[in-house]
Amino acid sequence: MALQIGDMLNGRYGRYRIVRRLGEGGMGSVYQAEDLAHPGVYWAVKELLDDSTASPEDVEWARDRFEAEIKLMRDEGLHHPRMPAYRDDFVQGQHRFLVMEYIPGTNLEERQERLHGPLPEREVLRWMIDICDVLDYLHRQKPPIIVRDLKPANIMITPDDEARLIDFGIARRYKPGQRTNTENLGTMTYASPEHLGRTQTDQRSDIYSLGATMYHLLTNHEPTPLETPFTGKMRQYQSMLSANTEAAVIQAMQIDPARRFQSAAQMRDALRQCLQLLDRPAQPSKAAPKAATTRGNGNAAPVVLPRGAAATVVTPAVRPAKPASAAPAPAASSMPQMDTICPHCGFVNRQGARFCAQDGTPLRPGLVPATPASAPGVGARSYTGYGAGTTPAARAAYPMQAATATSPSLAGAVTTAELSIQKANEAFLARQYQRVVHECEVAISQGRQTYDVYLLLGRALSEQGRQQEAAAAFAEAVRLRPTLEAVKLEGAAWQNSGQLNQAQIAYTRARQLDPQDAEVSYHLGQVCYDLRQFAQAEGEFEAALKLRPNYADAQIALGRVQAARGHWDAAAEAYQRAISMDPKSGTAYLELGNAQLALQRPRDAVRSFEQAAKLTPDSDVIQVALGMGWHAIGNRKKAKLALQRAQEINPGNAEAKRLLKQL
Amino acid sequence: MPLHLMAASKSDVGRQREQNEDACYMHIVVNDQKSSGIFIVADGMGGYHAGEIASQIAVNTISSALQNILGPTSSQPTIRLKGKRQRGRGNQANTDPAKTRPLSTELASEENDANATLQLGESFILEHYSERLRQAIEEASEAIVKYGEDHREAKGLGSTVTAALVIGDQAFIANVGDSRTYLLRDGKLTRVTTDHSLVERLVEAGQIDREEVYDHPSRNLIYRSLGAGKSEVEVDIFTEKLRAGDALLLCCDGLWEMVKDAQMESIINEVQDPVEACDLLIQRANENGGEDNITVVLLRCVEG
Repeated sequence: MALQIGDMLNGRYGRYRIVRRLGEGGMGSVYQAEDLAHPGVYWAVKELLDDSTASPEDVEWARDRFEAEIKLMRDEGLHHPRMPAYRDDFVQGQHRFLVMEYIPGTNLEERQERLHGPLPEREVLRWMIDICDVLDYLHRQKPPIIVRDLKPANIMITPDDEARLIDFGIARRYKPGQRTNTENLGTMTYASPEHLGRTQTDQRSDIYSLGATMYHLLTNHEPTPLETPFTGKMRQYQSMLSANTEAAVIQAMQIDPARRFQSAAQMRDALRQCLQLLDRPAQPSKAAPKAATTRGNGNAAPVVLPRGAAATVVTPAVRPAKPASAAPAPAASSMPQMDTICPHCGFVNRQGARFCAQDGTPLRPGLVPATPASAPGVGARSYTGYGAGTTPAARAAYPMQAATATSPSLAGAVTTAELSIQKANEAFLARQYQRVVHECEVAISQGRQTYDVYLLLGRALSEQGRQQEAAAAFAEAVRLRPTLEAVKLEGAAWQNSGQLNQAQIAYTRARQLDPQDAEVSYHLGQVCYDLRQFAQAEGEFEAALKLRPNYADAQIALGRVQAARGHWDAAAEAYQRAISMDPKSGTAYLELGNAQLALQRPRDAVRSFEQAAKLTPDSDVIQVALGMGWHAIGNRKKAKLALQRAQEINPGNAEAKRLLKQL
Repeated sequence: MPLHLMAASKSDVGRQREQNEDACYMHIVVNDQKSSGIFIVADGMGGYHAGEIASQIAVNTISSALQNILGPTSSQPTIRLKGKRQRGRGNQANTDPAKTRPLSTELASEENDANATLQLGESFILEHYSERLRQAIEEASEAIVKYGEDHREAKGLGSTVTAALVIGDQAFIANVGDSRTYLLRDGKLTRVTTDHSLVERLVEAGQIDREEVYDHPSRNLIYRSLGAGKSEVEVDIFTEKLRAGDALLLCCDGLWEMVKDAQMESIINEVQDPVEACDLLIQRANENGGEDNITVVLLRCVEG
């Protein structure tokens, strides 16, 4: 029996109330639960389900695996900041539960689905470097722990934009030997040949899965199982992808394990190199990530502990049955070296840098992870978009909690800032934008001047119509990390607030980030149009159409450029083209009608307006246009009807009123 | 000499299943002595009768999307100027100057005659019909996902499909999943489609021999399908110039797993009548175990 929202659980170390279901596997589900002793603190609760349709052996197998997972997390002291921490485990009503650190955010499968396209290379590299860290840690256990189930859905991106390895649900074991009906391979798409075939898996199996995961994220195409992509295949889907990154994915996805990266550390080094080369495009280096040609022996850079304070750990992992046959994990060298990866944003700085070139975080030698909330240098920020006077009150409302765990059982407890970020996210989902702004301000006042917080703040301000403040927040996010998303949002906010010059700068920057983004060209064209720079606007709209041939909005905009120049014939033709791209566009028909009116073809115009009205029945603007069309033909009765309809839709339509009076 | 098409189809529940989750379809039209046709086999997936529904949606959507291609046309294949324009994957088609027509002519003729058609070059015809077939299958996938969204109990339902669109002597063959289309030519049966199955990949990756496919424990796992929660689907399309004497065999895994290729070949060679051949193929599959539903569509090309 699955848990219901509101159900209470009594654990050994606490009581929990189920808040929502996070995920579901064949044999179990994962829920978000609130800690009753610490309201506002959440945990993830994993439950093993009884599945009446499963065979007794399968239930047994799932139970064994679940117990093994609990044991690993609880008894073996596994802990890594990029995996959820253990909290509790218990039996209630004959059901077995495991309570872990709750990791907010979205998993990469959801991200990809939302984006409908390849994820940005830089971000994917950064996240995968993080995942290599945790894989390296797991593979170095004795015996090594092989995740085996690595896939986009099992990688969570937190609101702080960090990657964590998670496992939702309990996979149903595939039953060999028994003929079952055709089934979807599902996530086995990412599995290594040796996992699907019959040779022993080892840590290099996870390398394959990580490569396959990257393939999917970077191209938005599922990898073909058991197929090493040929050089250039990924760039067929994503022409902007760097050859270095593609080469790294190809190496990870080799069928023969001996030809892959031999360790997660080795793959991490190669990915770092890719990231580094990406950030320095000026020096066209031929040094593709070749780190992996040396076999077995990880000639790796020192381990850089990722940031993240209180987490202890555990994981969705399985130890191979015969550890002896697994290749020994290569020992990473421990040569001391300056840490050049920013612990805050992941930016790879030049050797010896003392501050991150991207966000100014102090870079410290050695392995000390930065504690974000207390990093002193971070306080001075140039963000001035809205008053800072609210922060003391905010602080009062949310008494400071200890940033570090107060007791072992509370390891992984949430800090005030984290709590605020979480609340801000929840409020955003609930469309309570005022609250979002408030919570973001709290988080910022607590030292969380992060990209994600500013982005969220910007979105909330934008939703409230505070476009100028939103633009300032987005600009701050861009300053912290210049992503395409943030720059586009900044541009839109400036555009909506009427600051066209600022908008133009932002969109131009967005285009530098991704010259293939049709929307950027379209918006840039709109700004140019509003600035009456028609030639430039035309160029942008044409570029947008080249990038996305059926971009009806861009085609309509092209028509408007022609209309603004008084070229009504060309405008009409453009609108007709737009209609053939999107026959359901009321706007296109409306504009076509306007052009036809200008061309003294009122009958055609009326036909177009009628079509527009059919497609968009509740637009007063279209009804007014229709009225003008009928009036031009001389049919006063129909003109009047249309104008009256316009007034019904929008009683405040002054144009309709004026024309009705005239009639 | 124009080709004449003769076809038969048959579906059987097999020996071990309670319900038949397969679906099939065939339709032949003769215009001006030229034969055209649509042939489909789909194998549904998903419990609680959802598989049945998925394969039925697949067959219905694809056949109706392609129906108007078979309508009356002049001797030279033409394209209707009204109606849905290419979208989605057709990006390349839009940038090829050979395939773009000035919009003004199109719009002018559209105003004058709603039934206006345009004669097209051969390469465009191939591209055009391939694209229509691909779109029809993509539409089917979307329809199946939509059904799953509207009916929670059927969530995740899906289907394989193999389909052949024959226009005159030109065959367009599509495939998603592990149903197959074979071509019989000069007495030799060869597989046209590639299975999107784990075992096929294992063979390709050298992990198992082709003979092991028939009893591999994971032989039911496929990595591409219509529906199954994902509306986007990658469709393989093959084109084949048909000759008199050729035959196309479309079947689900319930046939090809039970009756080896050599056996199928000899049956089709020996039994000329498509109906009898289908009966015999299904009978043989049942004799060999009938582990799954069995569905066959057999098409023969004869001199008209």
